[in-house]
Amino acid sequence: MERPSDSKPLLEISGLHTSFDTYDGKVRAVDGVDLAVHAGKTLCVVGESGCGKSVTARSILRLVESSGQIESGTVTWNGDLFDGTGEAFDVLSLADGDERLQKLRGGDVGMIFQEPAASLLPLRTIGAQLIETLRIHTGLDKRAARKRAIELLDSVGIPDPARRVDAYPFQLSGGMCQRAMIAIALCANPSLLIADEPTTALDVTTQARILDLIRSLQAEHHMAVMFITHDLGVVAELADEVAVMYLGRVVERASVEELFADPKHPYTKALLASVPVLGRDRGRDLPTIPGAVPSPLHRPTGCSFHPRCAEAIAGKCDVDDPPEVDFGNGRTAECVLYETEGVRS
Amino acid sequence: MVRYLGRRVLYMAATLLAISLMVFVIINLPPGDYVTALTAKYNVMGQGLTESDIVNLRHRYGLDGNLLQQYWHWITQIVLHGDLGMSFEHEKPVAEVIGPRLGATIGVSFITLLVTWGLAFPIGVYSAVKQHSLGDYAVTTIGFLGLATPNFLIALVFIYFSVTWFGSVPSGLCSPEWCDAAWNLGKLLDLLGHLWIPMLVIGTAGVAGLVRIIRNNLLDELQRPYVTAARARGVPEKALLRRYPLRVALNPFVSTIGWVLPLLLVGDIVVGQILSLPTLGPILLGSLKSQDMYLAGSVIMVLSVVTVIGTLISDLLLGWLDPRIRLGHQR
Amino acid sequence: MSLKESEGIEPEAMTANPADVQRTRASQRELVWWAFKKHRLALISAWFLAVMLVVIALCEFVAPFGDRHRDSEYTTAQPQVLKLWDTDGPDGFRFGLHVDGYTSTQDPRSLRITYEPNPEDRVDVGFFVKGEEYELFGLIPMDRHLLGPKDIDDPMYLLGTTTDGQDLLSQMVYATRVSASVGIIGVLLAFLLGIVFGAISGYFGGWIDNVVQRIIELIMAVPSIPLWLGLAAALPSDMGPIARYFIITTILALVAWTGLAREVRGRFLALRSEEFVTSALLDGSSHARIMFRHMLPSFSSHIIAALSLSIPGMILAETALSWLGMGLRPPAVSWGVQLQDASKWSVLSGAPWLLIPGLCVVLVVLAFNFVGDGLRDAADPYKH
Repeated sequence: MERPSDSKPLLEISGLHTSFDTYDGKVRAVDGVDLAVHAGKTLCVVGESGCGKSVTARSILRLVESSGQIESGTVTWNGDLFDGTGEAFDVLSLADGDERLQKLRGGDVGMIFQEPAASLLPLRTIGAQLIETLRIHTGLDKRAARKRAIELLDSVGIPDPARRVDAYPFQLSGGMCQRAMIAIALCANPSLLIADEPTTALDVTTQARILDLIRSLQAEHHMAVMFITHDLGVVAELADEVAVMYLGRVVERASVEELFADPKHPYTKALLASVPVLGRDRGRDLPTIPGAVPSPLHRPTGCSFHPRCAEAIAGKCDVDDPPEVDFGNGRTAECVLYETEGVRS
Repeated sequence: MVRYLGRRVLYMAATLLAISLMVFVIINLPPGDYVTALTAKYNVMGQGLTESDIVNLRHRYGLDGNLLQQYWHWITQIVLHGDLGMSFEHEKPVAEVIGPRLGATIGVSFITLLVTWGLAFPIGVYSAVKQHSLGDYAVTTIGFLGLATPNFLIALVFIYFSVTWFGSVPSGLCSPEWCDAAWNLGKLLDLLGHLWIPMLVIGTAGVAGLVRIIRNNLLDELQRPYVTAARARGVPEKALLRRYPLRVALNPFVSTIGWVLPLLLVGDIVVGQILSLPTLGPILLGSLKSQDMYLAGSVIMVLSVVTVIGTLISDLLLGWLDPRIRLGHQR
Repeated sequence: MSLKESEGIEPEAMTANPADVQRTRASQRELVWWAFKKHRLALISAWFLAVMLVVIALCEFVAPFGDRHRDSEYTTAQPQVLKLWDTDGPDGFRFGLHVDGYTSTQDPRSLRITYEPNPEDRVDVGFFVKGEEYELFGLIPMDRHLLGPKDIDDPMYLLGTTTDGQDLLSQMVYATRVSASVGIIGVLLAFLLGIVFGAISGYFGGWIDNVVQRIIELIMAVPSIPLWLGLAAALPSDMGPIARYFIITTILALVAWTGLAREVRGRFLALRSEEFVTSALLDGSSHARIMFRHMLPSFSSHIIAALSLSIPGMILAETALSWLGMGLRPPAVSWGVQLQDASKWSVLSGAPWLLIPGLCVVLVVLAFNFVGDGLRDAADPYKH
């Protein structure tokens, strides 16, 4: 598989720290995350609920809720801005009213969310919301925007788009709402689509169709996709590259084939082992990862996974922070077991 | 939409009818009636009334027959003849007693309602958007106080300061020189000068309640996924606030007319006397105490009608604003 | 690839925090209490109300004078400041709790008498002084009062006196008992009605629900104060204060139960389709048993929150009603009755202390509101 490790990534997240102020203290939801998305490729970010993957995605466009703040890090955008300026810049350092942030949101970077019906304003038609976004980013007049809106709805597979453009979100099914959201996210031809668990709230058949849609649109527009999910099946279907997160940190990075064939980090291994396989696990208990994800307020000392790790080394894993080992070609794992193998970061 | 409206109007009429029955029964709870009191009065004056006098009086005032017959007489008089009956206490037709005060009541209530809304909305929005700021804490505190203080207490405190600092209290709605004058700018200014006092006293609880509602609703809406999604699309912040969460929070706010209006009317009852307002409130109390049946009944019916119409208007507004209700979606 | 569990770390370490473990084992009541404690304002209010309840129970002891005490020598006298020492006596510095007595002056034109503090007339004040006799809790005869003048005939009026010469402070203490209890008892009564009707309406649904709902809407459509006024006006004016107290409370409850019934009904409707109800039915439980032993306890914290939030409305209603003269009447005393005294402009301008009972209303209403808010937020401990 060709590895564009020399070309600059479209989006580069470096040293991201995002935390929330809660009544019980400060929660470090994202605790030092580095990620890269390359043009035209799909990066899947996998992890259990609460590992910080959603917060990471939201931090990119600075959409973190008011109780949270991005403490440090950079999010470098290397793509062409919609208006053609070629300078790379750090999204996090932009002033609030900076035009570039506005252009990025919905223009060069489209984002879709987990609950499609809840992500649309219930009081306005989907057409109105689509047209609004179109007019913000493309400056079309009302009639042209409406025409384009109908075309877009058609391209995402909504039947009878000329009528549906005037429908309200509550009149559409979950799958159709998600399609509408995708249409809105893509209306300005973004170079990156961030998808935050878009199919989690949908049934399996609809999920498959939405994934197909995303794949075909990606190929058609040569778009990069950053897909957040907890479902390894989706990862297998969609991903080019995978990043596994646990408790706010990226514990492993690999291409999709490498991850499934040769997982390095014990957490990844445990995740893969817990996926039930037809025929294999007959007569046995379903394998699980023992214990529960600790509260981010009370992180275990040393490696945050060590209390649940089958290969933990007492005296080392519960004391020192694990090193991030680079195996080359973008493959990394944050574990003490590979200390001697690769280059330490 | 027309069906919705039609159903509501029908329902309204039925409610008013039922209210009238209930009100009539309650008013007639105290033993005896006006004629009994009249007889006692005449006895004290030394002029006794003969039996036939009493029977005639009863018939004349519609007080003969059992309770149901009396009710029927009263209701048919109103609905069929537009005759509200006689006020015994004031010795005039009820319509003459209520009439001049009706305009003032509706006027004061309506203006207070508008001002209440006009104040509550921006304060509530500010409080929600700048949550945890000093302004927010100030607003919330004053709001709590406003809700906890009986409105006559506010009136009393106000009167205390007025007397102590200015030596007098502006009462009523007009100063002597303007009361009988024709409408012009001077009269209007004088009216406003008098109006702000009842508005302050009567409207406080309303403003406090409304601010709380819009603040809480907006805070809820600001957390919703569609706000984040809209921001992710690049909608500019100010437009975002206006078109998305504010729009949604507006709906329950509109439906508050339903209870703010009765609140204002009720406030008038309690405070109207102390401020000598020429509204319906002050005469209600007297009419209940003296069992001035037709007057009391009519006043309460008027208040109920205004309330019910207010609720209808707010329901209509709500239906217009919220497509989910218009299109019959079950949430 | 299988996990070598025997090489793993002990399960206890996995939950990482003993407090979290405790939380997973806590009962619902404990969770509600912990959540409530976090609400500082609610907690302070709860303590305030607890103190109020103690005052109510020990009314006669706390009040310096009895409730019928009247001092015609000092009417509408201003409040006296409690002092710990003074330097006005003949011996220079003196230590001891006291207030300054009064000198009176009469305005020659209006004939109005005003009282001013006279530092030379010292009235000694003490704790646990002998005063008027009373029966604590109606049983124990006592004559000690928490605070009062050492000589029972001396004037000690920390909050001034009313136009009738009654000690405002003592009257306020008695009024607290009346007003607060009307609020609480009224709400409890309203609740009884509300729970029964709401439960029946929500549980059975169908036409029963329809009928009850229509009745509720009807009662709610009538403006409440005229309704109260009408019902109160029907009471004979020679009714004794105790009977009047109960009837007024009942009237207030009769109008207020509707809101609570609606809320209870909503919850029952929602819970009706839960599985534990079906299984209880299949077990053969009677409807009444299911409603009151199974469903009701599941939202008991919500009910308690709603109770607390309804009390302010009740207190405000009684205050307004009594102030209008239609509720409680003298010799019964409530905050509303006390405020009637302050309602004559000519009196009020010279005697602003007569408005202090109003402050009581505000504080108690605020306290119940905060406690109710705190309870409501804490009532869903699983929400967080």
